[in-house]
Amino acid sequence: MLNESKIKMMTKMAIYEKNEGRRELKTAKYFKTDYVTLGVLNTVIAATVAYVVIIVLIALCNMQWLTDNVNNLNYASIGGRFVGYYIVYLLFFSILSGFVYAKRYDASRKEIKKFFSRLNKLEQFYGKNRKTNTES
Amino acid sequence: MAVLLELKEKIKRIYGKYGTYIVPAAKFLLTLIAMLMMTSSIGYVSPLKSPVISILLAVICAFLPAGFMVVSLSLVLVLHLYSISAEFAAVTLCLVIIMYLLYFRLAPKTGYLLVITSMLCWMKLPYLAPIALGLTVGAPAVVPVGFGIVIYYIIKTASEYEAAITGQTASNTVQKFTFIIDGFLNNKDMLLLLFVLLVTIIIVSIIRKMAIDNAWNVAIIAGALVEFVFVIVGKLALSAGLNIIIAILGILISAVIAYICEILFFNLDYKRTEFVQYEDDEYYYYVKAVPKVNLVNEDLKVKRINAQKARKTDDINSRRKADTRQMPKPSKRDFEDGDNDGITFDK
Repeated sequence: MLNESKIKMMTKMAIYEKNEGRRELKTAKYFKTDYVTLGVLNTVIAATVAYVVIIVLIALCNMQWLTDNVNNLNYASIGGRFVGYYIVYLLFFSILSGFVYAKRYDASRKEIKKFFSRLNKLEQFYGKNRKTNTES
Repeated sequence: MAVLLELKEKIKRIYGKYGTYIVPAAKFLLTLIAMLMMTSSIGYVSPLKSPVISILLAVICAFLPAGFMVVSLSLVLVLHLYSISAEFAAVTLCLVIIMYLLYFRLAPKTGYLLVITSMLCWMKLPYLAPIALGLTVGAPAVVPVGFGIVIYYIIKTASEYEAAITGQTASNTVQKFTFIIDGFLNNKDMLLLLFVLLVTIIIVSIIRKMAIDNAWNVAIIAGALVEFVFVIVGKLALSAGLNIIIAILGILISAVIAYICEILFFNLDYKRTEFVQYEDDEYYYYVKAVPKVNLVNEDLKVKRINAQKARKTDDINSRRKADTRQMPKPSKRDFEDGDNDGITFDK
């Protein structure tokens, strides 16, 4: 038999799964700290690659100057400065991504809660159905 | 005002009904216009110049997420630039990679803002966007808008590059790099535009969130004033070549568009028709879910029933039933977002 309220509920779940749920349900298997840490770690890797690209770009900008002064550059001090900038830059992006991922996690909670409560109801329905089947 | 609110309801209804088609159509048009724009200004790669390729790419982008559109458009951009000069392509590729790694990883959905900003710049209407974006998207919009402006100026510089490079004595790679980057960084127009748009977006988004009466309206006026003052001051200070009349017109239209945005998108809750498929133990379900929407005033028909007091109750009931069948009204339950879907068990 078709059960109207079950279909309504399943439809709402399917719509959620199809849209926001696709991304949000992935967060369901993590604790908040784990999710945020993972996000920050990924960002640190991406930001490091980006930093290398930025250095390449800066080198390209100053290519003329670099080729002229290639022999009399103080590589140690330049290296030290780049490492210093890198640490500040990494800190900035870690904090920023920490905020973004924490916000994303919190935002997904409400809908995920709804989704799982519907899932529970559906499970209850099947439990009840099975019982009536075995009784009859 | 009332007309706009009615329009909002109408848009809501149309979106609810045809949203499944409107979104891909909009993406298709956006990609197609961007491709044609690139072809017309820097189309040096002959296979990519063909309109068939543009249409094909637009069709693919229509059905994939916004991120894919930005990636494919930037690839096309880099390929076109490569045919002009490998150095230019290398610089652009670096910028694009930095953009993805630092920004679009965190906010992938805002990619289309970049494309729209570049397009508005191309149409000489860059001032149209910032107030509306400050209101609807908020401060994070500065990054895609900023990159959009940079990409536009890359395209512009590239289209003028060939003529410029022949006049210069930039023969080797090193000199070419220096020429490109100097020309790019010393572009006062670009710097002024970047500064004005970014400051406007930030100011508008800050005022919008303030706890004051009519925050949205105040934000629109403040945004327009800030844009106006900075354009004038910037033009005088930098003697940059911006057309003042176009700028003022753009700012005025921007304020009007922002006002319309306020009415259309404030308290935004656009739902659209969804097609979903699922199954349980007994059935496969292919469901089309159509959102219920409020009725627009003009659709209501007032029936005078004063003279019909003696009408039987069951008669009125049947009429009411017929009415509700024709136009479903939102019940209290619809506003509760269906969290309390009860289950009735069939025995």
